[in-house]
Amino acid sequence: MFERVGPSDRVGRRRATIRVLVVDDSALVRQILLDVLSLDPRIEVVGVARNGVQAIEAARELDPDVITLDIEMPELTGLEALPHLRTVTDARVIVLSSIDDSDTMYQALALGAVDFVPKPKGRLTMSMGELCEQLQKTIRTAYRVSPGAIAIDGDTIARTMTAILERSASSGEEPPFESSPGAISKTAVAIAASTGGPPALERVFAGLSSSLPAAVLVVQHLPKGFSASLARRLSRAGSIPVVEAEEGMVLRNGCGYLAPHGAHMCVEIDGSGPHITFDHRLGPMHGVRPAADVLFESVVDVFGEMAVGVVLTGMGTDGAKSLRLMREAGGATVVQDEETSVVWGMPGAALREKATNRAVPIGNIPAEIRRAVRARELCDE
Amino acid sequence: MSEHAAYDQVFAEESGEFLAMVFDGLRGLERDPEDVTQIEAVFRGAHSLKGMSAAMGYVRSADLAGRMEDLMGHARDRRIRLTPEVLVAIGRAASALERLVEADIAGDTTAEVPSIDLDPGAFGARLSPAAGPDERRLVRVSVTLAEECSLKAVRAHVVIKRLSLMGEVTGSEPTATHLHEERFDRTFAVTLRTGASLEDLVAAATNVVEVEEASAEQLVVCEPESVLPTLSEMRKDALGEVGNIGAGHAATALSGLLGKRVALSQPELLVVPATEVPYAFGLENTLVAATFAHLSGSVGGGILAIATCEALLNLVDLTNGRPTDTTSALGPAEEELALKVGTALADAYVDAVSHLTGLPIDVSLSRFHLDRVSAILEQARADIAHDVPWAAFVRTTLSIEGQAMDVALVFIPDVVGLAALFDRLGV
Repeated sequence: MFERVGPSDRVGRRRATIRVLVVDDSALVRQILLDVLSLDPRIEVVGVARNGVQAIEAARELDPDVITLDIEMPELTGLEALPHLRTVTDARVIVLSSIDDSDTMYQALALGAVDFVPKPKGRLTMSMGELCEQLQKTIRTAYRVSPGAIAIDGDTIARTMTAILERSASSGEEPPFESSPGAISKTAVAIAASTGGPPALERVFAGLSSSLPAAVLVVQHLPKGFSASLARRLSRAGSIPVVEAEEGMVLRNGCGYLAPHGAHMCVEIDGSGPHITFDHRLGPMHGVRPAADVLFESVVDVFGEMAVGVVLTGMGTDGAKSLRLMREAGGATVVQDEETSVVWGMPGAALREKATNRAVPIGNIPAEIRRAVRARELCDE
Repeated sequence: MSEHAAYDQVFAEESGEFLAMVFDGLRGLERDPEDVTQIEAVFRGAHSLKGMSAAMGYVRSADLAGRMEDLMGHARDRRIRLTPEVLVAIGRAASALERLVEADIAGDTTAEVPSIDLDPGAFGARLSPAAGPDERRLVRVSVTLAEECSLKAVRAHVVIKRLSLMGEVTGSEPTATHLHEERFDRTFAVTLRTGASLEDLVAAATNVVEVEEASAEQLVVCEPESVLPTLSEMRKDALGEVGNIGAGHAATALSGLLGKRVALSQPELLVVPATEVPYAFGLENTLVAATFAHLSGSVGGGILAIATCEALLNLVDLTNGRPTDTTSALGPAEEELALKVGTALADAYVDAVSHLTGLPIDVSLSRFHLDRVSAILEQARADIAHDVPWAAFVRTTLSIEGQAMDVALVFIPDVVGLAALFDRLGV
């Protein structure tokens, strides 16, 4: 059974407290959290639970205002417990986990968590001060979210993701980008995807924010008529607006351009800056049109070493040869790994072409992109 | 410092518990290296030890536990097989971790860490599918919850999760949405393909709190008409992905037809021998509405769109702008709407497959059925009359203006069409 935590010794307090349920499978972590939260007089821990099922039972019984929820737990994991929690309680859920890839974060938010706090990587007992401040603040903010207003629409998720990523960036590991969104791009990220691509692209965009100082160009092999809905889905996944590319569009930072069906999308540059153009005469390449090879080659021509190339899951070999050109021109290149690819055709071909030496899980692709873009931004200064 | 001493105490106790969990799990795995419950236990033990050690600043223990977790994670995801070599390596690591944790607690930072290779790559061989189709039978597990059970949805979820560790869950009755919304009495059933014994399945289900009773029966599946061509994992994935894209397209079409926003849950994909389809579906005793259309052109066979009657009635009310539960019986008008929706879904699906592969596929006019799933599917297989070795299910929950409805599309290509699809998909 879950444990109730008795009324604290602050008997007789008039002020209402924020009632918190702590859920974690480690007794040590529970103890540390109790200690951390006891330092804030506005917070009262009313119970602790050690797995997802207990969390649901406790939430129903104790009706807390806020729940801190671990992910990896026995019985039901945090992600599995979330939909049930939403049916039994109005409590705002903050996920507190050492599993902090953008994918897990996205899922948690999509299931109704209001915030996500990564557990400090180092020695928890020594970094308590830092955790303390962050957690107390997050709990107080979460408490102010009205229970009825927990919306899990794409826009809200995207905004929260961006805020979390920026917060964790400002707390050390990754500094935030300083460029102004919407400026004409000096750096371009070009992404190729086919079979299994749409969900993979959603994950990539979920991990990118519109403060990215680069334009993002996407070729996804799709039947006719799919690109408008895919662009909408990708826009909802993160904070980067993604549009179906049109002739003459100038490439701007923090914006996404999806190649429509039926013509090869390329980039070219003139006085007005780099912009989109289409090659209608060239026939299908690798049986597809648009083909990533056409886009990538033009990106190499226009952006040279300021290009970042990504090949995601897909059948065939599109993108492999041109990704190699990109690498040779000094661009950064990365592909999705076999484990997380639905079909490891295109990424595998790129690896065989020696177009890259980095094959990473889909969850790490956004970080790879951010890192590559950052490196280019620094060189440019 | 005194505070730290208090944590030392908690750490000492808890690390002992998790180490015991790891050792117990390893002993279990010596007897049966395929026992997923034990794999899970060792994985979770290592995960917890990693987190706790890191929290205390015991970096060497955290690192060793982390490498154990990583290796067990590979075993859990069936990326490596737990050969005796792997088990010996994990066992040695666990003993080393035990000594290291003791040293950490005693404040001894000089203890030596033996070098043990836990790199998943070192144990190479990818796990081939453990049991062939003949070893895995289709089983239905029926579960009754205690009368006073207060968290029915949660218990059902835990039962299904435990069973999914023992095989591939193919369906449930009632459907997932109904289970989650607690729209069932006290009993539900889960269908799965599994190599586990009936006793073990019953034991796994009855172990869940507030489960009063569970029983398991093997479903009798007719023999396939011909020898099944083997279907590699890659081809299954490709067929599944075709389904994924088709489902997205189908939802868009429905949205256009109804003029309402239609959201789609992550489609669940399942590729099973066609003879198993009627049983694997799970909705043994539920009356469903379905439309069936023949396929011709480069891909023959058929396609079914299936929804529970309740979902159809809800859809009727939604379409007519009436409150839910207004319509309670299916008349000609309802049948017509079902036909329209089923046709739109099937057409859009086939259209997507056709575009993706460049294969021309024609869809016949749909026919409406109201029956039990098994009867409808048997009829569909008989109607197709060709050899249909494999079927792809795409199951998803459509959410139309906040109303959740479980629907399924069953794409049953004939043997010639299947070969053409794989050829075009390049697998």
